[in-house]
Amino acid sequence: MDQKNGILDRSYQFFASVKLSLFLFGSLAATSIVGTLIPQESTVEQRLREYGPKLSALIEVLDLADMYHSWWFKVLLGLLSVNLIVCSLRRLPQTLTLLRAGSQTMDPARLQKMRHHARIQVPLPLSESQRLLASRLGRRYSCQWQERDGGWQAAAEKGRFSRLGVYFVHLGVLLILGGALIGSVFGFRGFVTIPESGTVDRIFIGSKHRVLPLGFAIRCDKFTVDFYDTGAPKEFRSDVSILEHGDMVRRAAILVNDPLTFKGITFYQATYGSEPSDIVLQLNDVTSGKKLRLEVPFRETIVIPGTKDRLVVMDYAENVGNHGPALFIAAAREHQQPASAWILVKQPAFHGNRIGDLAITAESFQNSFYTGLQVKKDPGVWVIYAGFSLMLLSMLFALYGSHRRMWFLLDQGSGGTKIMLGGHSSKHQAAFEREFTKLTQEIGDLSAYGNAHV
Amino acid sequence: MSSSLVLSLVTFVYLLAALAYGTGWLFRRSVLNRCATWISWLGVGLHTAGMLLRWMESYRMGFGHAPLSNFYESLVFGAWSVALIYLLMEVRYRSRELGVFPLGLAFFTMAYASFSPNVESKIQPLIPALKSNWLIAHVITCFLGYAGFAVACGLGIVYLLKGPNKQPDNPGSGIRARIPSIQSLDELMYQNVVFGFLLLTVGIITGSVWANSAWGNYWSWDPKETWSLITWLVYALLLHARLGRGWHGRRIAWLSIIGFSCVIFTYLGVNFLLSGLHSYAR
Repeated sequence: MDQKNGILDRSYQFFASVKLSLFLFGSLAATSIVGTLIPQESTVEQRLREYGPKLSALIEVLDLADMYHSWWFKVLLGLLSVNLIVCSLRRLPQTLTLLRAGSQTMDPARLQKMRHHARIQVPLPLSESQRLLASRLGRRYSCQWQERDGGWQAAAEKGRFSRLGVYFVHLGVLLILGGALIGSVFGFRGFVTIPESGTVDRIFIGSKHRVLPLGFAIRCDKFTVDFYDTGAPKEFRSDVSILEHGDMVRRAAILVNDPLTFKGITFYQATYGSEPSDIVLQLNDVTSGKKLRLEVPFRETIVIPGTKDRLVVMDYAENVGNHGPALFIAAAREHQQPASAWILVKQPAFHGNRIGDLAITAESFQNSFYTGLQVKKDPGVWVIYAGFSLMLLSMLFALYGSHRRMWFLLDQGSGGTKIMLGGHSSKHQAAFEREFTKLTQEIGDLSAYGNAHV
Repeated sequence: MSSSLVLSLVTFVYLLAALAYGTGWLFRRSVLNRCATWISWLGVGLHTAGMLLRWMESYRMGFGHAPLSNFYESLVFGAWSVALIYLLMEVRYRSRELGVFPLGLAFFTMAYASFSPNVESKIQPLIPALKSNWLIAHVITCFLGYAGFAVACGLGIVYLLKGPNKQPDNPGSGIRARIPSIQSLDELMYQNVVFGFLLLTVGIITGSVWANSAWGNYWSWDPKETWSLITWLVYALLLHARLGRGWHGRRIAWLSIIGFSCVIFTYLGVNFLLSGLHSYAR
């Protein structure tokens, strides 16, 4: 039983130790370097080419290509959280006791054992010294005065809550880690492209091409891109409408740095591109001599009317082989192997503008923009922002504040007042020493100060 | 007068200040040190004017933005921060002995920014991702933090050079005697790290909030972000070691040097050796 307690106790000590924190800071920093050197989210093939089979296998086992989401990195973060919690739980009671302990009665012996202490004699009567010292201290410290067999005792302190600062910093860090966890469990990140005047009601999640219905629809009314005279992009802007059950409920513009949030889902301007629309093709079957004029949508397979032949405009390029824009078209004709070709738009007479015996001319098309939106839902963001604020504010107290305590004993002496003082600070010893020395001098000058006011 | 002229002038003012601090230190002439302080303040004043002028010029060019948006402007602001942080420390701790290091650093940074052919000093319009009020808060806090770390690192190096002088009050002889006591070096180093840590924390947080509004992700493990976190962790380690385990002196000096190496890598290494979302800072 004793031994079991021993183990529990020792593991409690281990998880509460600053040594563990130092180890975790060091190992999180060191391992994070690895992830910046090995490209994250690369493919197996890329890694094999780059690192060879042995290193690739190691990368695979340790999940180094998605390091920050690997099990062992999560273990390190989990350990950090446990360390934070256990350490705070262990130290908090002591701190609270320190804070609750008000002014203790002080005796000269204890005062002299303090790191900073001094004895001063001032040529003033006791009551006068007490009054002047009280008004001096009252400005900077919260003081408690007590009468004490013929003399006075004062306990002065300031910055007592700086002792709690560190706990709130740690709570802030926990909130940030917790917010990240909430986001990864209850949130999603996805992507969607919408052509101008097109409407979508579902998005793609992650790289696995999972489709997620939004519960409403979003239409891209217009996409605009502005450039500076230098040719650098100035602004990307998508004007969109939100539709519910076919009714428009909201219109908004999405710009970089100015996203749109609807029902907890946020849309960010991410990319854009252009694609052809309203494509009109002329088909000429060289063998049968049949001609046909046909309007085809982009990237949708259609059946050529009056036949069982299928055709699709698969791709568009601004410039193919320096011959200008071209459409990549594939055709699967009845009883023939499917075939494909780049059809040059500006050179209808080009002999290669045919698939098998089907000569194709691109009569006209429009070039219209599509917008690429990053779509995100993250209920953890507000927890994280709360963590940020808490951490920052309390860091100010934890790093710049210090709990400074001083005690004063005043006794009637021959020809004046004997003053003994002593004190200590939880942090910033050098600064406290300066303050203590300055205060000692001021007390020595109390009589001059008093006379000046009399 | 154009801003680039003012800023090249500042380079020479810093050189002069560094030389005055250096000779004042070597030949124990406190007059020179006092002159150096005035020259440095003049430099910082001109530097501030130069940056404001550049800001105005960008408005005259039709796309006004704070001069904090590319590599040149970050170098200029970084040098300004180092000089200012040092001078404020001088005011607070009344110690002029070590001015040659921060002012020397400010000089080299400005010289590199103004005269290196690799640094493009033209005022460029902002790309859409940078058009945000977070830009100013993010860059200013990060670079003030870096400046605090730079000063702490310099103090750390001096601490280690002052070396294994075990007797705290033995002044020794030569240059070693002309630097502040080992205790005040230790204290100053710690104060600068605390300042840097606080500002770096604000810098990372503002960057994170900004990234969330620009790209919809408050943290994406982009190399710049990751390296800033590595830097933050190193200094967190330093603070916990000091406050929690009572580390002082040489160990803290070494950690402060390691920390500043991380700062340098976050600032320069990531831009030149790794690629990521911060590539416009090149």
